[in-house]
Amino acid sequence: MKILTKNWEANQTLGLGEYFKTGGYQALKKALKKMSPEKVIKEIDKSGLKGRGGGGFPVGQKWKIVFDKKNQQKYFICNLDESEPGNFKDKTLAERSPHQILEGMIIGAYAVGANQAFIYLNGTFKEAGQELEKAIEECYRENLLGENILGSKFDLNLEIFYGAGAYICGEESALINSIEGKKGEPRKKPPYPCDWGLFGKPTVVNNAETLANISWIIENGGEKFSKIGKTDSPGTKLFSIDGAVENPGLYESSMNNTVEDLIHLAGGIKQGLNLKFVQIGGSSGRIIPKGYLSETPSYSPDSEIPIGSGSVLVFSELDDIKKVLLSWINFFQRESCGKCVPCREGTFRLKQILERLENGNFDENDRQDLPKLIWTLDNTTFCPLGKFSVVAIKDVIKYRMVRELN
Amino acid sequence: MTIQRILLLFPPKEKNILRAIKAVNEKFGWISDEAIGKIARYFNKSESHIFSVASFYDEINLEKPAPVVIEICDGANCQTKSADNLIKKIESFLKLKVGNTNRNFSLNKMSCVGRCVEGPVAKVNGVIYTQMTADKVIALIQSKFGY
Repeated sequence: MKILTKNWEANQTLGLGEYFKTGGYQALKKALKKMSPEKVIKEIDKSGLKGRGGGGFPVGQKWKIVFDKKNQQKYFICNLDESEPGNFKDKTLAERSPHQILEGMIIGAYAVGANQAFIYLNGTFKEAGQELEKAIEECYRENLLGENILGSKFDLNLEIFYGAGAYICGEESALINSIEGKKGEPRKKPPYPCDWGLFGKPTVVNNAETLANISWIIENGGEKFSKIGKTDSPGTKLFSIDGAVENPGLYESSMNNTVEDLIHLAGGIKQGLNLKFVQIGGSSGRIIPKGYLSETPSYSPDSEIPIGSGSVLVFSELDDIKKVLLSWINFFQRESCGKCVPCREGTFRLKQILERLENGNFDENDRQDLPKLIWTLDNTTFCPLGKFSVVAIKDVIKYRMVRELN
Repeated sequence: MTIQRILLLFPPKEKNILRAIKAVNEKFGWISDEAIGKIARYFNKSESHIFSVASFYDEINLEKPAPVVIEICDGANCQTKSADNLIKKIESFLKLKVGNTNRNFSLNKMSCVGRCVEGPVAKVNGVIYTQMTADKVIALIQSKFGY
């Protein structure tokens, strides 16, 4: 079952002409002409669609909260910052099918009553930026954006906001601060962006992949969507699969896949190599050792393996776990925004310890400090970045993957 | 184009602050103290505010960069494709430790840019190169920059 990639031709971008031919913007027409905003939100709610950025928050609920704020300026933001290492789903979506994201945004803005929309785009995604800019221009030309869209009373202005290199700006409140011309540091939550977002106004922030599902749901109905795959995580998901597999790349599949199924999607383990472990969800994702491949990643809160943003990285015996540990912590230390002490200093100290582990100087002091440091990062940082930085190392210790650490 | 001319492309609204900083950085390669002052006055913000924003983001330079800036992705995906070896080889060719700058070169690690399948990934003066080997990086800086 494919929703997001069904019309993709080999390495080509679906321009407006091709997108129209595949039924593009029919859902927007349907929404604007035949459905009230309440009806749109009801369909999305019925679909059970959950946020694809990693959080898995129900989209219908988010939209309803913002819809209920009456008589004020509201904003609609598409989060296309995608800087979790190992993920390339939103970037590829924007490069291949930019209108699918835009259509979801326009329908979403109509549903919640927002007249100003932004795409927060990772500053390094030059190709995606070009495709989106072209697509936005086409939309203005065809009256799919601007005033009185398709003859309705709905106006929407949409612009791209380019990030400038900061992982934390994928976090919605940091992203909002960034657009406001501030440092991209996260805000205290609550209040959530739905209540107090961009410039203090109610704001929806949705991931690009989430938005790419909207047109299908409006056309085919929420109920049909809710029956695809698993009932607690309905719909399909894009998986960025890489590492020791035969055909690394982007794959779309429903969410009843076990870890083993996901590896098979990409052609199985690369010939001649043996699987050592798998990481799901980027550098902040859980580690799945060889014996646990029959687990199913999902958005369900009681799932052992959160699906996160859907990246799958397969490690073989060629990969040195100590070097991988260092790669993870280097990333978090570099991207820690510095706002709170436990994260700024904690990631720095953890990096020092893991450097010593890698060059053979891990000592008794390090062994004693490590659990305290992990606890501090896990429990006391201002935003989830600190927690993210220790997910993988906790698993490495839990599964006794490095002798010195146990 | 002068800083003032670049600023005039952006109406003085808050949503244009980072955009203007990026544009000035792109044109001159970095944001000088003088530029910070001009941007601050244009947007009616304090210099410390503009400095805090400019210093926060990786793409913005607060010092004049070296003529050739080499960045290597050390993300876990690129690491499975031996990014650490690539870095070591370039370090020994340039006689420069990663994280440092000399008269001609700056060598740094960078975060994932989403081209994982084609890794290891490097960026030279802002342009992304994929499936990099040390030989390719060296050939590139020799042919393109004459070092």
